[in-house]
Amino acid sequence: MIEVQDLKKTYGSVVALDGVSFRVPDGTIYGLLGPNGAGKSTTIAILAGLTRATSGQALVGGYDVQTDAQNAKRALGYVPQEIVLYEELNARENLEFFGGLYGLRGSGLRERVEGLLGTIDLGEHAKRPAETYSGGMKRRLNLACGLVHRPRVVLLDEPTVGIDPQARLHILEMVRDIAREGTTILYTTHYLHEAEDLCERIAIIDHGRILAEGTLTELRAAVGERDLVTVRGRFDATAVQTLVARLDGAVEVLSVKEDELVLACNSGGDTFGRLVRGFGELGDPREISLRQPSLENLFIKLTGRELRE
Amino acid sequence: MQTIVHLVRAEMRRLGKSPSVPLLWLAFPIALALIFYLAFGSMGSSSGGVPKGKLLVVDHDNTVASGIFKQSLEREPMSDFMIPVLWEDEARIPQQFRANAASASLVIPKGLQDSLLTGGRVELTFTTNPRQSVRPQMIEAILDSFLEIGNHALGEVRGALDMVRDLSEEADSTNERATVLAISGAFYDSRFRLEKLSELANLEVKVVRPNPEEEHPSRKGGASSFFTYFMPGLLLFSMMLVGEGFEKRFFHDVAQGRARRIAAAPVPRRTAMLAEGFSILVGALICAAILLTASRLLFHVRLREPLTMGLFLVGFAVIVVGLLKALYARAKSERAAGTIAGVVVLMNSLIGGGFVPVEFFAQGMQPFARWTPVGCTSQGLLDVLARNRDLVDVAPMLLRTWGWGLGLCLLAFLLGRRAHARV
Repeated sequence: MIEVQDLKKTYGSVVALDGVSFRVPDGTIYGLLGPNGAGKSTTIAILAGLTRATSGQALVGGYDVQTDAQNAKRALGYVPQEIVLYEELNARENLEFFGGLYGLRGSGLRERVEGLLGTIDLGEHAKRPAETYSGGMKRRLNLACGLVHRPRVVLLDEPTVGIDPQARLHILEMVRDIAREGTTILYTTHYLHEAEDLCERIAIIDHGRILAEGTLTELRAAVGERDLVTVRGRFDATAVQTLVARLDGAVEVLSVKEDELVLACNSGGDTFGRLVRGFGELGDPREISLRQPSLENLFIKLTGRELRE
Repeated sequence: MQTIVHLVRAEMRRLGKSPSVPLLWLAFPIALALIFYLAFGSMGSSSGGVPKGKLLVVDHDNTVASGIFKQSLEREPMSDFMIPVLWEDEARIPQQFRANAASASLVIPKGLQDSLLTGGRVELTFTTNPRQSVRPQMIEAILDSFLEIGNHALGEVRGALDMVRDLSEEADSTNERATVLAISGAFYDSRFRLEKLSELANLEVKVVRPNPEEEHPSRKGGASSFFTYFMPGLLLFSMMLVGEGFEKRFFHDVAQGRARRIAAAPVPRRTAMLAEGFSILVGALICAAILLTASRLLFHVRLREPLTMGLFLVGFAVIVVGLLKALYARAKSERAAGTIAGVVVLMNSLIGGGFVPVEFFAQGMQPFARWTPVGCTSQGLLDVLARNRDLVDVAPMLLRTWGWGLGLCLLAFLLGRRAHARV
């Protein structure tokens, strides 16, 4: 279980976390979604005991990460976003090294390592130095190194960055297997569909605050089952307000930029048709796109920007 | 403690997986040693291959036998390693040595032929030039091999020499032609039967290695003496380079996130720091062991007082740990750290006698140099190895070494706490 209560972290005048709270029950996969600089990595760093929170409390497996750091770390498996391996060592030696850090020794460690090598499909390559592995193989080994000691809680910081779709599927399957064994997982990602596929609960974080939190169904409901209309071109701000007012609340302006307008539009009826007919009054629209309700829509609604920005 | 051992073993395993890394660390001091050796060991100018040494041959006998001996020196394989030069004035040999104009001399005593003919023992005097190191040894080695074979040859030649003696005593002109033919035949046969003959060992070489009082001990001649003086400084310099190599790896590990991952495990910062320190310590001592073994095997440096030497080397390894951890603790980037550490290591070696023994320094500089980390340790080691001093004699230097080591480690610990906080 992970419990985070009103976590704050500041670096001088920069506020990295501004009262983050969430709870991850045992055996669930919890997604933390947010763009770069949103506060995901700071949250992970505090939970992993790598940095101290300015205020607030974080518990991992029931242990306070600040006052009982050693026990919290024993309960925790940390898989960093970067591939952090000893490139000169082979897969078995890497796993044995990280297992050894958690006090595993002897036959227990060897058996666990053999099992993991099979799980990550590196049994045949166990004697090759890690530097000779492909990106996908390194990612799998990177993940396995955080699991050698059978942690009750695992922090996965964007574990699928930079790998091919097949390797990604393999890793996602591994994550599901770990969760099925009762491990609690905090999963941060840029990929919305990964969060949709994998996570039972999701928190959307930006500027150090959690903007929305819940199951995928709850979050979709929060979007209001509305379509997302993106218009690119040149707009007259007054004309935009006039058009929206004429549509009697069926359309909501999510963001207005110099060359892009994002609107949430009620599904069904003739709202979309009326909206398109009114575009001529806005100025010089050149491109219109319509997207069905999704987590991404919610994200844009909450943050005013796309996740990859 | 188990975690420290685990981390240190992992570091050593990493090194073992990339053996080129420690070799590169050792390459510089070894190259430097060779350069010094060529310079101070007076190998002289050379172009391609090992330069041949000049052997001054003084022949007081001037007989057929001594002539055969001199001719043999001019043939292969002797001629591959030396240039024998017939020298008349034995008294001027030291002068030639001082001018570095010859590597060694060989004096053939009067009565060589007679002694051989009567089965007596003959002693040739071989003298090495104290200003040179390698070439006299080469000549000595090849001369030894030659004389072993030569003793066989002389056994065969003896028959021919007996005939020469008979010829001279009897002076029978009618037999002259047949006798000369017989002599030639005997010499011819001896050439082919050398290897079949048993050793006679009539010919001996007395080796003289001048030990002039006015010469500095490091110039007493032979690679052994030379390296006894220069090895301690180079050894310490190598240990610092190896330590720096380790510290660079640790800094690189921070940049690569490996230190961060270790920090996420239940490994206290103190333990991680100690493990890094022990890794440097072990690496530096392995380097010392390699270089000491090489010094012993290749240059016959006599390693004595193992306890005292061990205390000095461990003490200096502690200095290396403290110095480098302190230097890297505040570094902002790997490049900056590497540059600063490189300069500090080099300056320490220069000032402390890493390249040239402190006693070669100007008088006013020596006391200061002996207070530096490298200076006190190199002087202590030199006193043990070259002057046969024991633990009690070198205790003041040993105390300085350990004082530096512990002081620098304390400084590194204080600075390092902050450095580890940044992982």
